[in-house]
Amino acid sequence: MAAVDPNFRVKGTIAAPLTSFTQDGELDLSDMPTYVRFLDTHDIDGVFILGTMGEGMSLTVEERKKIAEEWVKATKTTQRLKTVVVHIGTGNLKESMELAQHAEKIGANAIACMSPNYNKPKDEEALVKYMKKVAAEAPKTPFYLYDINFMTGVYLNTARFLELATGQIPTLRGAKVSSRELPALTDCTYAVGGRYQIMIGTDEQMLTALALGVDVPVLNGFLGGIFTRLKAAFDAKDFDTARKEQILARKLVLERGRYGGGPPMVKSIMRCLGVDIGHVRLPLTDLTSEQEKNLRQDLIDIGFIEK
Amino acid sequence: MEDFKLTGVLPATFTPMKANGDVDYDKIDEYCEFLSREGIRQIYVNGSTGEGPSLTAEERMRLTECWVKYGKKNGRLSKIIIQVGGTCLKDSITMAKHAETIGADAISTLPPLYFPVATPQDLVEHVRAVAAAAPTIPMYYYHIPFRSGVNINMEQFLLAGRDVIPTLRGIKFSDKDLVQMCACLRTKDARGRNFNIVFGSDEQMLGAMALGADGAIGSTYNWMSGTFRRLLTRLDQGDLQAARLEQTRSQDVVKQVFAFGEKTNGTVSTLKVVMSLVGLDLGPVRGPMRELETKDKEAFFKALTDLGFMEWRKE
Repeated sequence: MAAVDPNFRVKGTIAAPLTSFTQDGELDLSDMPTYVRFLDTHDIDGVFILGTMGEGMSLTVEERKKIAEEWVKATKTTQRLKTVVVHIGTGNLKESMELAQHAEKIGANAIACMSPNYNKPKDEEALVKYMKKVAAEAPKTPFYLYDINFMTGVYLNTARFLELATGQIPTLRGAKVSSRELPALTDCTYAVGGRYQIMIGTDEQMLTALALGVDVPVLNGFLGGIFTRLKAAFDAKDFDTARKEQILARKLVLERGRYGGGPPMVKSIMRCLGVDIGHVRLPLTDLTSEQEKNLRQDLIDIGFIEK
Repeated sequence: MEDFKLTGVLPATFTPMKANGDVDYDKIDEYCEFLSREGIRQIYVNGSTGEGPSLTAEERMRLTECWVKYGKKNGRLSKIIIQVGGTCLKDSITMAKHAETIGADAISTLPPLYFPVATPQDLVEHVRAVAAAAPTIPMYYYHIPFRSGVNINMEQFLLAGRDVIPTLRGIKFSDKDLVQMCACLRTKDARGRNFNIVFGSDEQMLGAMALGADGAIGSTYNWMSGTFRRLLTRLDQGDLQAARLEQTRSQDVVKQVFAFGEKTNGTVSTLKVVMSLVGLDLGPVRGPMRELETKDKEAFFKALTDLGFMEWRKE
């Protein structure tokens, strides 16, 4: 009997939540209850914490452990938001192994890990070897590769990783693909007889992903409603409505071009929605109040928020 | 701090490891002895060669303590620079503070390794935060765009940073853009001194020194500093042909390092194993890098020996 259910799947709509910092860049957990309540009441079934949007790489190992504990604790009192996937990828193997062990100890539903980005693995074999060591520290927890090539600079074939890892990583259940190449995503869906769960990490590809059978998105927390409507329309074969929702999500992403993407912009969007998730930590910098004012107007113009 | 200047040849040290991948702190004493015998008095610790980004913050701090303790013993090493950069600013600040407390002579930092900085101002903001944690020792920015992915113009960085980072002393310039390097050499700090520019590409060291770089930091200086000291002497004497000979020796060695490095997922592995050839086994490298297999290692050592490496590596 395998330690990890070979049919384990993350279900529903998963948010990649932000991490709140004070103006001085110190961790601020006081915003969490309000934030959890927002996600819990906005069509979110689970969270993928401490990834890129969560500024995971900017946090110390101790901070990441604390945040993981808080999220697991939070799910005890939520209504809908119950799944916690902990991203444990760091710059190095040792820290990821430590975080994997900790995630299992506190009862994370699954863990995910990105490739190290300074000393880069040159081929999929090296990546498998690395992830095998990480995953082994959490032998009872489903493991996902976090593939985000444009951030790590590691451009490997994820489908090939899944093939090579089969039999090597007993807890492997799939990949969260934030890399944007749709053909590569397609390859992941049918790798090894289609046994792996592929989650999509790109807000503008929710509809295209659904067409490939990828039905669990990891998206920004304010897109819960949009995805619910998009998926319902898709399931009902109402593709016009589905496309409309996707285009709205795409327009939100395009705001990146004016204000920069990532946590700074998303924190400002959350503030425009009435939820304050604090500041970002260096090297990221907040939007200026001028930029945030303009962003708010843009959100009104594209129909995302009311005046 | 006023007169602090890096000149000459400084090895970027490797991190000794045990067979199981743990750091071998006990080896540092022997390593300092080795460097001393090689004529080395200054080192750069926990950089790329030292596999800094593959080590935890705790390991890096413990290494710092060992390097300072054993390095300063009997006055063996006069300048120890600690690289404190990584993906997490908070860790860098902790390490910078620690380095200053322990008695390191200077610190250095990579740019942030995950979220890219896009402008000189953003980079200055980051480096300023790290430098502020060690206000009494000099800071050197570690410019290595082909590894870090951050390729900000260094002249602009110095101009933007000189009034904002009081301890900014210079750059470890690990890029082949010598025009940009020269621009940095001609840039003056807030006190009107030239910035201290140390070059980081061993295979082109002669070119950089001829253009006025103050010194050089690199991995090959661990085991062939003699070659480079001769190079600098010849350059000083105006004997370019002899200086070029030393540089081509270096290039021939580096060619082998890269050729065999195809099999190891990173050249730090092949660079590190050369230490075994010259008498100090520093153990394996950390994943995702690999070791050379025995037959490849033997072929690598033979290639170096056939070049005459064992003869001309020493002074």
